[in-house]
Formats: sequence, C-alpha cells, structure tokens
Amino acid sequence: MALRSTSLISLTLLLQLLWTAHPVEAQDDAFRNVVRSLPTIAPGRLSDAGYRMKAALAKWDRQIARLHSEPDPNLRHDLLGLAFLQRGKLDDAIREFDAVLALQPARSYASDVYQVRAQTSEAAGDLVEAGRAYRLAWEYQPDSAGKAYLTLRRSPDLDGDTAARALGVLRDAYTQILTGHYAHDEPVFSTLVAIPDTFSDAPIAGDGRLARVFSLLAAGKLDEASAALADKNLAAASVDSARDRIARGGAAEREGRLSDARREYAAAIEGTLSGRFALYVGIARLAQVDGDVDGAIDAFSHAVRLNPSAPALRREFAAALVAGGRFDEAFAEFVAALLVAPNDPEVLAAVGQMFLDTDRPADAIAPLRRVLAVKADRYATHYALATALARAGRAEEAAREFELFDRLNRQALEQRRRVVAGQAGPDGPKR
Amino acid sequence: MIRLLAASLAATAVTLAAADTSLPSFVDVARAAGITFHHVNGASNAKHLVETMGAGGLFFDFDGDGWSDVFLVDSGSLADPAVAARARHRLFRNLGNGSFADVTDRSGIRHSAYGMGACAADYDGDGDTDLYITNDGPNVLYQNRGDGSFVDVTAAAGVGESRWSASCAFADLDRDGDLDLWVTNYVAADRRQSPFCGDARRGVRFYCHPLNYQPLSNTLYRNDGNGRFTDVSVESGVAALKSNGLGVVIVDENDDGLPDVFVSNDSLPNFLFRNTGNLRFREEALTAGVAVAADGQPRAGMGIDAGDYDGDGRVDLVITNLDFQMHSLYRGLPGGTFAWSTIESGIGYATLPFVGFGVSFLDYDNDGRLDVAVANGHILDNAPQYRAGSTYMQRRLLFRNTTGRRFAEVGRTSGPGFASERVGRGLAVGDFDNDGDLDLLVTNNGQDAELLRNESNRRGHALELRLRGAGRNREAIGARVVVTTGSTRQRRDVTAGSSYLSQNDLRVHVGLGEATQADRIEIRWPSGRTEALTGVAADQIVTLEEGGGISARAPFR
Repeated sequence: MALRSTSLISLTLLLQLLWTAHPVEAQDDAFRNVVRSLPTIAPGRLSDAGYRMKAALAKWDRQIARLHSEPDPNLRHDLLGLAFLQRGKLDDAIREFDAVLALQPARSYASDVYQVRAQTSEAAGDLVEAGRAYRLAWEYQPDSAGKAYLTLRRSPDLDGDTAARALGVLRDAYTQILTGHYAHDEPVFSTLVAIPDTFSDAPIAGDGRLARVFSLLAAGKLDEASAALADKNLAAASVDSARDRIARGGAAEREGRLSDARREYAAAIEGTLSGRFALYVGIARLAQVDGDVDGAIDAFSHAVRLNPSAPALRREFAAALVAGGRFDEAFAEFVAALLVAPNDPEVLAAVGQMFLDTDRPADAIAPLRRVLAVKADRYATHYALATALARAGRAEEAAREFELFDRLNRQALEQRRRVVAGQAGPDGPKR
Repeated sequence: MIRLLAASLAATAVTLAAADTSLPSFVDVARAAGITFHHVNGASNAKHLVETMGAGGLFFDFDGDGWSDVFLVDSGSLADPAVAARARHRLFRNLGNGSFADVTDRSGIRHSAYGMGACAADYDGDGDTDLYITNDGPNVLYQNRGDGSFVDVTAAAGVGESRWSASCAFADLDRDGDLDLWVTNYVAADRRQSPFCGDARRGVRFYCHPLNYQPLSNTLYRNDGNGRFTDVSVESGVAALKSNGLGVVIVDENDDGLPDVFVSNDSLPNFLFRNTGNLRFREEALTAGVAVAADGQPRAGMGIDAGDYDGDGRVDLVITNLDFQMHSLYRGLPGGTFAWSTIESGIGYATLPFVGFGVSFLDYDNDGRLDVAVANGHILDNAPQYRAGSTYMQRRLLFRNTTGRRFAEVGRTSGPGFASERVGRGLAVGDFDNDGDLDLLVTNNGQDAELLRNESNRRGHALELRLRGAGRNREAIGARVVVTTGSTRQRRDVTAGSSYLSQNDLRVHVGLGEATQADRIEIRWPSGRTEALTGVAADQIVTLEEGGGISARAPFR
C-alpha cells in the first residue's frame, strides 16, 4: 500500500483501512465493547468485566505487535505511532512519530505527522511541546487552514507575527468559503484517543464504583483502568460520584442555584467517561447567566477540544468570545466551524451578526448573503442583511430586504397568533 | 448512564461572589420612611390578564418644595367588587427629613378603575405638577390646585381613554410650548371573563398569552392650551398601528429638535414613532433596528428607557422582556440606526432567566457612566407549574457600566434592596433624600412597594439640575443637557414617563466621578433655545432658569 497521504485524516483513514484489510480484527472493538457495557453492568460482574477488558487489551497489543512486520518503514512507524497513541502509550507513540520524521518524508506528510505528534503531546499534558509541533505542522503545510487554526489556538507561546499570519490564512479560507470555493472533502479535526469524548451523546458518568475506572479510561490509562475494574475491593458507591454530582447539579439548576450547579458539574468532570463536553457546555451556559464571561469562555474552550467537529458548539463558543470582546478569537472559532461545515447557515449567520455587533456592517453582508444562498427561507437573515445594508449605506438594497423581511415577519406573527389562539382552551397555556 | 438534561435556567441565583464594598448598596426604607403601600392586584381564579400587570409608581415633586414625593398606583379587582374597593392610590409627601407623610386623603386623588400606571407634568403651565393615571378603564387626569390637593378634570380635558391603557408620557410633541400626552394601550380584553388557558385535566390554569387578545393602538392627545386636549391619534398616524403597547419613552432620538416616541410592545415589534413635525409621525422601528431582536423575532417588550450609556452623544435604548428572551439593549449609531448590543454589552445572558418590567438608566455610583436597574418578577403566579425552575418572585438586576460599552451585573452584591425577591413591576429613579445619589422606587404586584435608598460611600461627585423652562413647559420636559468634565461628555434628556408604568424624578442627575465641577453645561431647552454655563461646582442641586442662568443652589444633604 503506497503512502500518498497529504493530511492527517487520510492517515487515520489509512490506518482503519489497513486494519480492515489485514487478517486482524478491528483494533479495539473488543475493548470498546467492554467499555460500552460498563454503565449498566451488574455490580457482581465488575471484576469479570475487568478480566474481559484485560483480555481485550492483550489482544489489541498483539495486533499492534503485528504492525512491526509492515515492510514500509514510513507506514510502519506511522501506524505504530497512531496505535500507541490510541492505546495510551504516549512515549512509544512519540518515539514512532519521531522515527517517521527522521526518514524525512514529503513536507505535507511530515505536516500530518507533526500534527498527530502534537496531539500526542497534548494527551501527555505537554502543551508547550504540542504547540511547537502544531507550528511545525503548519509550517510544513502553510496553506492549511485547519493547521493554521490549531497553531493559532493551541500554541501557548505563539508570537504576534505568527498569530497574525495564521489569522491571515483563516481569513483566506473564510473568503473561499463565502464564495463557495473552499475545497472540503475530509474532516478537519479529530480525536485519536481510545475512548473519544464523543463516544456517547450524553455524559456517561460513573457511580461510586466506576468513577475511578472512568477517570482512568478518560485519561487513556487503559491498563490501570482494567486493573481497577478487576479489583474486587472496588470502592463502594459514595455520595460524591460523578453520577451523583450531575444529578445534584441538575437539581441545583432547577432550583435556581446556578453557582452550585456549576460547581457540581465541574466536580463531575473527573469520573465521567465521555460526554464531558456536554458538562462543559452546561458549565459555560451557567457561567454566562452568572455574568462570568471568562468562566464561560474557559468552559467552552474545553468543550470544543473534546468535541472539535461540532459546528454548533464552536458557534456557541465563538458567541461567548464575542460577548467577551475577543473578536479575533471568535473569528477563528467561526472559521473553524466553517472548515467543518462550510455551508452551515447558523454559523454563517452568527458570523454576520458578529460583524454587526462590532460595527462592521459592510463585512456582515457577505456571510449573510451566503446564508440566504444556502437557505433562502431563513427570514431572520433577511432582517440581519437589511440591517447590515442600511448601516453600510446601501439604502435601496436595504429597503428591499426590509420589505421582504417585513412581509415574512407579518406572516410569521399571524401564524404565531393563530398558534397561541389555538392554545386557549383546556389543553393550552399560556405565556 | 446519566443524561444531562437541558439547562432549566432558573429565575434566582445565589452567588458566592465577594461584594465590592466600595460600591453603593441599596436598602429598602419604605416602611421606616412611612411609605406603607400594599398593591391590590385582585388575583382571582378568573385569571384576568390585567391582574398580572400592575402597577406603577412615580417620583414627582407635587408641592414644588424641592423634595421628590412619591405616588403609587393601586389596581383593584375585576372579579370581586369587595376587593376592588380596597384599592387605593397613595400620595406620599416627602418631609425632607427622610420620612414621608401619607397625604392621599387631603390630595383628593381617588381610585376609580383598575389602576395601571401614571405620569406627571405641569400640563397647564400654572407652575405645579399635575397627574395622569392610566387604568384598565377610563384614565383620569388630576389637576394640581397648588395647595396640596388635586381635582379630577378628565372630562373637561377630554383625556379619558377608556381602553386598557398602560404607560403614559408628557412631551411637547408639536413644539407649541405646552405638553401633549401619549398613552400606550395594551389589549382588548373582556373585563367580565377571561378565556381558559391551561390544562383542565390537571386542574392547572395559567394567565393567557397577550396574543390571545386583539392589540390596540396608542392614543395621542394634543394639548390645546386652554385646559383641553384633542385626541389626534388618527390624524397623527398613530392610530393606524395596533400592538400590545406597554412602555413608552419620549426623547429626541435624531436630534432634529422634535421629540420622538419609543413604545415597547409585548410579543409584537416595538415602535419608533419618528416625529416629522406638525404632530405627524412615521413608524420606523424596523429600519432603525429597534423593532425586534437580532434574530428578527419580536420580544415581549415591557419597560423601556432611553439614555446615552456609551457617552457618544446619541440616544441608546433598553427594553425589558420575558424570560429566555434576554432584555434588549440597543446602541444608537450614526444615521438614525441602532445596534442590538444585548450580548456585546453583557446584559444578554445575565437577564435570560428573568421576566423584566421596570427599567431605567441611572448613574447609581456617580462615576459618570449610565448604569441600568431592572425590576423583575414573573407573570404567572404558578410559574413553576409552567416551567420547572421558574419562580414567581425574582430579584432585581443592577448592571454597572464598567467600560462605557460593557456592563457587569452587581445586583447580588448591592445590598438587600437588590437581593430580595419580589414580583417586580414599576421602577422609578430619583434622589429622594437630596444627598446626591440616586434612589429607587420599586412597585411589586400584589406586594408592598419599596423605597431603595442608595447607601453610597459617595465615591464620585455629582450634580443635580432642576430646569425651569420659560414658557408653559415650566419643567423643561424634553430638554437635552450635555455636561462636560474634562474629555467626558454626558447627555441627559428630561422625560416625563418611562420605565414601566412609572416616571423618574424630573431633575437631571449627572455623576461627575472625581471631578469637582462640571466644566461646561449645555442645555437645549424645549423651546429650541440653547444655553451654556461653565465651571459649575459639583455636589449641589442647581436650579436653572431658561434665559436666566442659575437661580438657586442647594448643597447635597
């Protein structure tokens, strides 16, 4: 199999293809199946699950060992690096990625390797080294908007010039997106850990017995998790489990104790296997209502790292950044969302709104027109566009849009009136 | 697996945030000051919508002694005549020593219909302030006799609008020298019975949504200058538009010398009636950007106020809305448009759980920037049955202007007056104790009214201006004042009617921060005359006569 990868994702897809083609099983299905069974497992079956997990991991290790026989050295080191990363053996993964780079592959390929190396360093908690690798990944592929974004947003010690250049690449991509010329055929962002946070739609939180296991799994410490699960002395349920904390957070929310709810959700992060992004979103929204703009931004930033390919989430994060007056960062997040979903009308509309909010009506026009190009019946956008045109001094165009909006809005209001009127009666409220 | 439920953002919140003790705090001194008023809302099983809406309150100096008096509107009952009979408007005279005397009986002011709001101004130019009361039923105009008593002149004046009125405001809209009267009207609701809205099987009944009723047009009365008004709603173009009008504030939004009218509408687009002269108006809220929110959707507009919070010399607007809608802030831009700055300003998310009513711009900490105070309280007395987490009583919000364009909500750390939860409705601002900082009058549906005294550490200096117009508009309603200190310019407009069913003290209050004088005060009088004064010392109440300069000074107490 020839290596023609020009992006990170083609590399990971290659990994999947390779393993599917090889006479080995998919790398971690057995392992994931054990994990999936944990939330509903009977208390008496926990240690059994631990043994099954241990067996699955052993099987996975054997599959990884077979990769050493791959004759192509580039591919061998790549596959091993990715496999070790997923397996949680981060030092081994770094070693393999460095081995690939030592072979001096093509620049675009080296760029991909630097990116996964950066992700590995992030998983190991070394953010400075991760930032360096993100910068190199972008340097080797300077026209990549995704890598420019990662450099801009994930390099803790980025200098001003580099940041400005990265922002420039994002602006170029944004322009291409608005004109429909942005080439987009692969996912931009990925998470390469064994149990990604998007493993489930809603948080999988541990009770007193599973909190430690989930914490270890989420940290990629799979062997330790397996051992903890097999331990017959696994702690009994306690009142401070992640599951309990989420329940208490929900109750606090319903009772209006927003700060308490935030605290409970924050404490539940540890001990929640997946869906932590949803907890962070909840924390961020509560922080917004609490008037804590910085707290909201911090929580959203965690959420988008855990779930990087959700445009709606990035849009909400960007809106929080706008509320905090951090417009360049907001723009970067909006572009990141558009890299994932270039025609997302909600994101495009939010970009237009940001420009309106920041007194740049002329800049709001293009994204708003793009919204209407992909979703002509989004009548609220006619209003935003009319507003932008009016404020940009384009009175005639504005008048047409206002007229269109006014007509659509009147229809919507009449519809609303009919709906409300229909609610009067035994089955309908209300205000 | 625990599934995280959608956030049910609730109406009240407790915080552990540390209080900034250098900032003012507010304490309710109503009872101690002699203001004992319990609002009669007439809440009944009939669930008349009007039961949820009242009532307002005013700061106004009815006896002209330089101390702000208090008037509180009572509502009554549509369902029970016995309850209705308990309703009683109240006039409290400020004795100048921190206490008030109930002078209602002597005033001659009587409750006559289900009361909503009021506004006050010297409509007849005789030197004392008159009073107009809005009702769900015929409104009433009381002429101030100048001896502490009032006389009902509604019939003679021809201002007895009999539909369901809400807020009102006086302004010289035709610039003929006397004050005209604007009245917002809400919905056409049957006073005998109300439709059932709710779940009969569960035995749960809610107040109906206003869109269940037909909207009403606003009423505009032209002051004919002879004690009579003429209803010019049709000729002016005002009657052509119907909506669920609640709040009103009148200010010269585009600085063309003609007062313009902002009306907040409940669940329908707000109005901006631009004054084109000769008592003609063109409704331009949509193109101005204040009709709806950024998403193109109308909000449940309740209270409203205008003020220049960002110090750019242009009028900005704040409107309170329903919960989960965010209260709206519109920032005035060049060219007669507004930016929806709700999120940018920091006001948006913090207001998400609240049902807002009374609202006012005010510089509560005398730092030279306009802050925002909001009275909140749910409409539904059984709010938790409607939405989990909702509460009927809600705390007030105080948004401190921190940078000119951004606000921080500091209500929870601004003393018990802001921390307490009530069913807030009206809110009026004034310096009742003449100490140079602004106090608040808050009315609550079915509950006691509150007088929130500003317990300021006097962080900044201030100046208060009592304007006296040369003509019949003696209170200079509609005057625009620009105060310059160093490089800072602050704009204030004299308005008689704003917030929700309420009216602020007519005196102009300007926080000066560290400055010990106002370098320059420019006044554009309602007559169009402009005057300027320089080097006016801080920390005093100054009376300014049109064409006559400073006629009186009184240091803050």
